[in-house]
Amino acid sequence: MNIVVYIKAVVDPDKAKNDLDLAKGTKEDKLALIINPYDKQAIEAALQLKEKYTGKVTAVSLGSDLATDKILRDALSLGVDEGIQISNDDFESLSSYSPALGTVLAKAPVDDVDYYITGREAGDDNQSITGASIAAALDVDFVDNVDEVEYNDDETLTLTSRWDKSELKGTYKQKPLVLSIKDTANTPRLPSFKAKMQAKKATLKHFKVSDLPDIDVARIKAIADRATTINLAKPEVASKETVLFNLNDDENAVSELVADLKKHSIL
Amino acid sequence: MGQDTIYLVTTTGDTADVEALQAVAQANFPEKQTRLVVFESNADKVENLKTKTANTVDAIDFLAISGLDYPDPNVLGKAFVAYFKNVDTPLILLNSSRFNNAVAARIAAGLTASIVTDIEQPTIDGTNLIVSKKGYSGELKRQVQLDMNGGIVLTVNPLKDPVKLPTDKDTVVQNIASEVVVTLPEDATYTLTTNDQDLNLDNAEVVVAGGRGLKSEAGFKELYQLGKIMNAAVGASRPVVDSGWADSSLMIGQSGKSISPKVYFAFGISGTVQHTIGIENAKCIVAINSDKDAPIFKLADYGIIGDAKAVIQQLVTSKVSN
Ligand SMILES: Cc1cc2nc3c(=O)[nH]c(=O)nc-3n(C[C@H](O)[C@H](O)[C@H](O)COP(=O)(O)OP(=O)(O)OC[C@H]3O[C@@H](n4cnc5c(N)ncnc54)[C@H](O)[C@@H]3O)c2cc1C
Repeated sequence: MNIVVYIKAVVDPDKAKNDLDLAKGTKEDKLALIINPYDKQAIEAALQLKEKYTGKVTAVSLGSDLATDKILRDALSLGVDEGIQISNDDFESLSSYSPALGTVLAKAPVDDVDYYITGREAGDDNQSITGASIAAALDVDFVDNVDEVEYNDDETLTLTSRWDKSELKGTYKQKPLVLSIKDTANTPRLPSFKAKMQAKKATLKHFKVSDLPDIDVARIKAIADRATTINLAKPEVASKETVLFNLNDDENAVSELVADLKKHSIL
Repeated sequence: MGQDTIYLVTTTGDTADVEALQAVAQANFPEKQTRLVVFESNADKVENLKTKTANTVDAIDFLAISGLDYPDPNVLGKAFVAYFKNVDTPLILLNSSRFNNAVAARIAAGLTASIVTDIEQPTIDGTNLIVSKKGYSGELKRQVQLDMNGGIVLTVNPLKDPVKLPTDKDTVVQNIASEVVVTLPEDATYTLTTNDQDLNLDNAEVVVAGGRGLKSEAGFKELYQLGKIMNAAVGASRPVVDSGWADSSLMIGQSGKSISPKVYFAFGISGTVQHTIGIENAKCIVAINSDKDAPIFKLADYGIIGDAKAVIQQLVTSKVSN
């Protein structure tokens, strides 16, 4: 079974909020880059598929060489078999606001893929569109918000998708299939020290967007240019007056709070 | 640019859902024609929606998908893509929710349209549309510029202030039979996980939520007793769910629910953005935390510095009611 898992390098949110140049990508710092937290469950789902049915997991990451090198090695240390870097040097940006993203990712050169897996969203742009975009480019079915996976003996999967107020469950026989995995679907494993050391020495495959098969770079660029981030800033927060009680030096703190809430018709 | 019309897409026939969309359209695009595109299989709801929206939109298209009686995102996505295939560069709005974002993503991908989810404040600037969106779960705010010479799909957050809707439109109603072929897994089941009749995180006026500061499953479970007394729904932070003290359906935040109760009690919750993004629309926030520097106090209207368990117990024994 061939499984592709797409992973994205994001700037650690704690670092992004304190250094907008990192968040904007005008400055790059390897130490600030982490694997998108939502992709950890996607990797885990891919590894569980491989362990259940035997096969190969390829991680694909689009971005700068520095960023994809770091996170692909993280993925390898977890048990992923191969890493493919796709550099977006041909573009100023390839954002998740544009359908061009899926068009490019779908061209990752891996043969006979059974499952394409993504995380539910990326922690930096919170878009949750990548899986749909890839599925449309490949013209295959897509199951998203997958919160539970049952591995059947005939290599079909019974998947439960959970939404805000509803749940869908069904057995999917068709392949290839694109899945996007919720971050509550499983508990990601941790790498061993030895695996980490081995991953450091591994060789990654590298492609430029223009190297990918059957790609119309000019068209992709035209589509990508229709959506651009023009500003990224800290949100204004209205400072709030907090009415504070302290239970440590006021034994009536709770009843005072309740009285205040009742007075203001909050309770 | 075929954007004299704005398309309002709903995956439910709920009038509240439709009104929220109309309000966004009216507030931000008052000069555009509005066309409502509805998937709803329940005939009563269709009639109800027709009555309620009469004269407030320019057109309603009811999309019927034969063989589909619940909203499957793949089938809906295909049906909407087929519907929009012949519209030149459509501007499409849905209300933001997990489910709608998933449908929106499919529509945008199928139409090669730009997409931004969970946006606010769309404004037209020449041939561009500029929208605001939270980045890094709310740590940062982003503005995205979208060229209206291409299709655009947006999921929009509800407006904070009410807007008066027009009442003088001649609404043209059409029933459209979608030709999309319904392919679902043979054993597919669809379940509604929240029942509007029961008290839950979506409809409760009071929510009592607990975090890691409650220390144990037993500590967390005391919230249920408090919930009963206060007529409140119980919510949880992520570590509570990850530790197995509560079901994931109780989780509030980026990976869980966004809620809008009248009052939200946070017991032993630190207040990271991934959690607080889910309580932005709570009218009043009450934080109980032993650490006076906990970030949650910055957002709170009321707070008690102290042991969360002790506060829960006092609230239970004093039988505080709502
Ligand atoms: C991609 C991603 C998505 C996420 N999504 C979500 C999400 O949807 N929802 C969510 O909640 N989190 C989410 N998180 C996790 C989030 O970042 C925080 O880790 C989490 O919200 C913290 O939960 P907590 O406040 O219960 O625990 P902690 O941060 O550990 O805080 C515990 C608090 O309890 C207080 N405390 C300790 N003892 C007591 C006591 N005796 N009495 C009173 N107070 C006490 C402490 O002072 C502290 O403030 C996400 C994280 C990531 C990376």
